[in-house]
Amino acid sequence: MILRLAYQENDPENNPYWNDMRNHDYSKSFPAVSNFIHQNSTKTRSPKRRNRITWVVAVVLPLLIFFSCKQKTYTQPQGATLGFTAKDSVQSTVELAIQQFAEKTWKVVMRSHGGIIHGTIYAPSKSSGKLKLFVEKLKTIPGVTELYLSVVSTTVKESRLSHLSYNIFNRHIDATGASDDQLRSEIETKLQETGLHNLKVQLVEEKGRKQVKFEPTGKTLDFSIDLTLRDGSNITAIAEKW
Amino acid sequence: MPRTTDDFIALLEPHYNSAAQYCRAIFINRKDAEDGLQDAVTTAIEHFSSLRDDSKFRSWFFTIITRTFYSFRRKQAGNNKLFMPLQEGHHSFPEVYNDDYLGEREKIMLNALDTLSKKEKTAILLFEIGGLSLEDIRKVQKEISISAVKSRLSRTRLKLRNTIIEMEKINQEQGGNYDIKTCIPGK
Repeated sequence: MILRLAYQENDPENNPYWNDMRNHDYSKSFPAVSNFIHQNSTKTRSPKRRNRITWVVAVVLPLLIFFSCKQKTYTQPQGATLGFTAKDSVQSTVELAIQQFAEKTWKVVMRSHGGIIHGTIYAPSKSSGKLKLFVEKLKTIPGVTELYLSVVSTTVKESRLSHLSYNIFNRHIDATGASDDQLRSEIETKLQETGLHNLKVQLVEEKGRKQVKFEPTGKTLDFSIDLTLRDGSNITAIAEKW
Repeated sequence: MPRTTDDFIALLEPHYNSAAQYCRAIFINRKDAEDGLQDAVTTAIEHFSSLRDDSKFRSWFFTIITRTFYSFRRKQAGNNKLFMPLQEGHHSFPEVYNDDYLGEREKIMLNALDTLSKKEKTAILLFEIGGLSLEDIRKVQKEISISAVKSRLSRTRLKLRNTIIEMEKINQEQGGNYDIKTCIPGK
């Protein structure tokens, strides 16, 4: 059976108790409380400040999101190509200069035709400083007749956020010209820097492609790795920590 | 025209005594009541500009106290820090309930209130101490209808009555030396 209670405006049975509570006088503490309000009114967060916070959230934040998602096109230097011609007679001097300045990453092609040497050198952007020094050196060799220096660059279109996250989270390994052992140890080092321990790296050659395999040797973090290597080209290995 | 601290104090003064009584009854513990009153006053000053109609000050301020109490109970359940600490340089809140000697019936009522749920307690106190209308209580408690508030008040009154009878009985049996936990000084 459900008992419905009728609502009454007053509570006669409990009233003496309520009256005692209502008659308790706390008003003598009001001057002290009002003094507290006076002293602290300037120290509480003012509506003006809250308004400023609201403005930041309502205006600045969407702008920031828009700005970070907006695609940005920029030119990324990849390296430089140097073309030169020189007389046959200075070939050994030029070769000596190349040996002196060239780095592992340089690609040098030289051929001789009709008493003239035609040379092309590609240097990645990392060693552009050294390439400039090499150009200065070539200028001092009397038999060098022509010099062309052109910068190789690529146009990249991506959002600012993607660019930023790429810079923060990615680990790059320059694998050009590296032996399997060097590559393996470099990858392992980068993985450890990223916090991915207990991973054994194996390099397997299959159908002209080099595959990198990771074998967990113990408990490790979840991770995702994009790594495909082609022989003979510039290789960038990317390991991402999630 | 922007309103000043003096405007706030002038509006608070006529309702201060009932607000202090409400805080004392809702928080039960005198220290919590003091902290709760301080927190409610600070919140009210911060939000004073949002009060459009001065005639609604009483229900607006009691709503703030009630929300402070709900938040206190939530934080208490989550075992978090109960009240926001005053920033450095803040003057401490006066001891409102320092010489708060309660009568026998007040002690019994506080103890009986402690047996209620938070919604029952706020509804009955907003009505009996706050003097808020049923419509105002409905708004504070976010109820759809006034009848929900009415039935809550009726149920709570009956519960209180039964608890009080029980307590009076024990009190008589113990010759008026009934030790009411809520009235232990410093609790």
